Amino acid sequence: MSRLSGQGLVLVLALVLAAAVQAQPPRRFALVVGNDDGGADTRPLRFARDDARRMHGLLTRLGGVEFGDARLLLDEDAGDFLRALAELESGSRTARARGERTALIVYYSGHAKDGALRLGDSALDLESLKRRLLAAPADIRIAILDSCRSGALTRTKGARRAPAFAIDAGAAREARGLVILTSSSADEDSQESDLLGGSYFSHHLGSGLMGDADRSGDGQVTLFEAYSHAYARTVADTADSSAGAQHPTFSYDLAGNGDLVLTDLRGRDEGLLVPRTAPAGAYYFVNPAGLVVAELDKAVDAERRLALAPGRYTVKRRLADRLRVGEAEVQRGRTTVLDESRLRDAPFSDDPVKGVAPRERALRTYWTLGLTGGYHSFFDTPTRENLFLSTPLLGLEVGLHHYFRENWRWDIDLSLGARRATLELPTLSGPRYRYSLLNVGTSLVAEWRLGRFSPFVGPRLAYLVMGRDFEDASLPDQFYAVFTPGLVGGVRWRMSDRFELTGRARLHYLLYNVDAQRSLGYWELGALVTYRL
Amino acid sequence: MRNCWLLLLGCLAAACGGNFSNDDLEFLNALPTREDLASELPGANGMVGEGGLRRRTDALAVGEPSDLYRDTREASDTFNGGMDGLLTLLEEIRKLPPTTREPELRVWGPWPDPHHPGHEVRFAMKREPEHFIYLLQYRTPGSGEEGWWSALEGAFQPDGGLRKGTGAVRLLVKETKARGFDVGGLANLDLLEIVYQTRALPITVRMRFVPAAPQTASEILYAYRELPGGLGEMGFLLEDTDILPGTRKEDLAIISRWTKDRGGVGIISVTGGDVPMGFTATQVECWDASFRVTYLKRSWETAEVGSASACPDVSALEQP
Repeated sequence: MSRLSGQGLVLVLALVLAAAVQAQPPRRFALVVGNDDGGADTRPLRFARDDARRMHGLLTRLGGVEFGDARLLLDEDAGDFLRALAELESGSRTARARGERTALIVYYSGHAKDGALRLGDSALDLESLKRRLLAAPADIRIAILDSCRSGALTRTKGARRAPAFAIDAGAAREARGLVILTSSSADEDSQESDLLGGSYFSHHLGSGLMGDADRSGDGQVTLFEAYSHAYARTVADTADSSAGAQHPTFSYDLAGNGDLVLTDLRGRDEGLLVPRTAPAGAYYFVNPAGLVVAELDKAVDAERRLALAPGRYTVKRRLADRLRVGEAEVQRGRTTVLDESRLRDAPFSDDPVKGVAPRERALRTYWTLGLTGGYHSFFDTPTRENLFLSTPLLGLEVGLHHYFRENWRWDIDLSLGARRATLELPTLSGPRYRYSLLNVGTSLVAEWRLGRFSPFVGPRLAYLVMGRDFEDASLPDQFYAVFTPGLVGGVRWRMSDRFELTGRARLHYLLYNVDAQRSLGYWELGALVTYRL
Repeated sequence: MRNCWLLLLGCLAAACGGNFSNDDLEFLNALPTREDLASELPGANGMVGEGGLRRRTDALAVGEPSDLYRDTREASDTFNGGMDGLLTLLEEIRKLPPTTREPELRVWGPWPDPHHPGHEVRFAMKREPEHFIYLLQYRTPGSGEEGWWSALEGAFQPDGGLRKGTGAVRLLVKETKARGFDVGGLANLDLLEIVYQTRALPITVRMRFVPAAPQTASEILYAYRELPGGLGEMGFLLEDTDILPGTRKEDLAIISRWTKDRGGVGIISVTGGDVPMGFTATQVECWDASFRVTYLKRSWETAEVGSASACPDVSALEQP
């Protein structure tokens, strides 16, 4: 088994792919899936469905996929995914039976975790999907996965973080005709951008497919060009992000087939042309919503074409000291030539890119109201037997979820306890009295969602008022009030959409200073049934 | 902002604290209550017309108000009146949390005494291995710790239960008068001493009135016993008093025993003085629930008034 690498490999690959470009384009089938929801223990995405819509539009508009040969699934589960894939496989099988060459493109934008795509509460194992695609009845199978840690799918097949990739020749003979693009490597998160209104990877892949990735300038965007472009731009855009740079991966196994033209811009009048005379540099095309829908990196003396969909766009160029901003309208069936000289100078504060307002909070704030029962007791035996008695508690509790921060909960609780007892002191025994306890507290806890269970822990401050009323009038009624800091921890179980059951323990410190100054500790165990308001 | 924080801290501090103390209860348990010491003779004060030992001359008839009950009432009122100041003081102490708490000490005060301008007052209790002692003390402001003098001193040996034990209280009338204090109805005394036990039934209270030294009056002893259910006994002993016609002085003892609602029995005994040697003049008198005579028998007369069977059963009190 030989292993090629470096610039030589790129050259060889480019030659092989160039030959393939001349071949008759295959009939293309596309399954495009977007799902913002990854089920329990994942945070909902914002733009996975939008990415899927855009990719579906690109593939049907520019990618040679007939509308009837494309399936767009939004927020569907794994079962729907497999059923739609089976339909397309059936169509491909039929086309091949007629002698047609076919290509099957699967695009997924959404969550992935623990080696599986997460579609809502359902999961689709990545290795199973890979085997399914390997066996799919299509000459070329392309999987594009825009999800966290999706690189796990390519890691075992010669994928690298750099565009200069290696091909395992031995493996190529066994598993021919499969290309996998992933938005991130096996240990990275895939990132979304509010400014782009989508994920970095899908945005740059889409922009590249519209023409920005056409390095050769031949009016065709090949798979390799699209990936190289998406890789470079994604890495560049995410390099300074808090999550760190995101590195797309590529697994290429097209034995005997060469590269694949994904979009062919030749012969298309519809779009925008940046003439050779226009200044070199980056051009951004912004839709009326303030989102960048495409970018173009123009070289000196090079004419560039961008297959923008019909519509009005704001064109932006970023110079060192200012912006150049203007309008352009792409009409159906016509080419709009950009006249850079008609752009106007604008300060950076007038940037037309508005983006999408940051999401206020992925988890919505809500209140809960609960009934609680528990038991309160001091650690010190003499204290709990003759001073502050062990007492059952009943109370109410109000919780505010995700207000200060996601997965933080602020609780205010009130509970009461009482019991009758007989005083037993060294020189005084026998008096009967009623012991009562008022317990008012507030706590701020952090929770971790693990399916239906959410362990939590946090600080609590309680105000305790303990009193005893003696039946004998000669003994005075007594009370003690004090603030007591402590910790609370437990597990919340989501029984249904509205009801939750919580088990918890509290540990508190109490300073007693009447007879003498003493540091005491007490614990409380409790159960809580809450209703979500 | 700084003021807001200070205000918040002040509120938090004010919201904390209390009087929840086991030691306080043990200290307070060492103080007698009115319930423990006061005589509980049925019938309100003044319910029966005036009467007295010295006006006892004529024979009574059945159905007439009982003179002996009236005498018992008078003795009971005197008995209770002697302790009223003490008990009122202790009731006030119970209402207040101690000013000073130490492991074996509680102090209420000192405060300026509104009844005695120019003086401070404090009430101090100390716990010792077997008993508690307490003092009511006064001083002039600025006289230091040595300036305190005691107007009352008491002790209590607890027996475990609620106010169960043995105690003694001494009103130091002589010292108090010497400090220029007005002692009201106790002006003719040097000392009022109360000794009591609540450890076992019947509870007993003995009170000793010690007259002021220059006077020739004798000490007066009161003894009170009580059993649950309203059974009570008041003993009164007055020595060297001229109660019978003649020039010599006799010793007078009265023991009255009563029930809660079925009347009582009184026995007057006079010995010495004009009573012949070796002879005790006695009078037994019973009264009903409305304090009217049901039976009367004098040792120096053969006739009886009424029937002895009309007397209530107070035999439970005949045990010492």
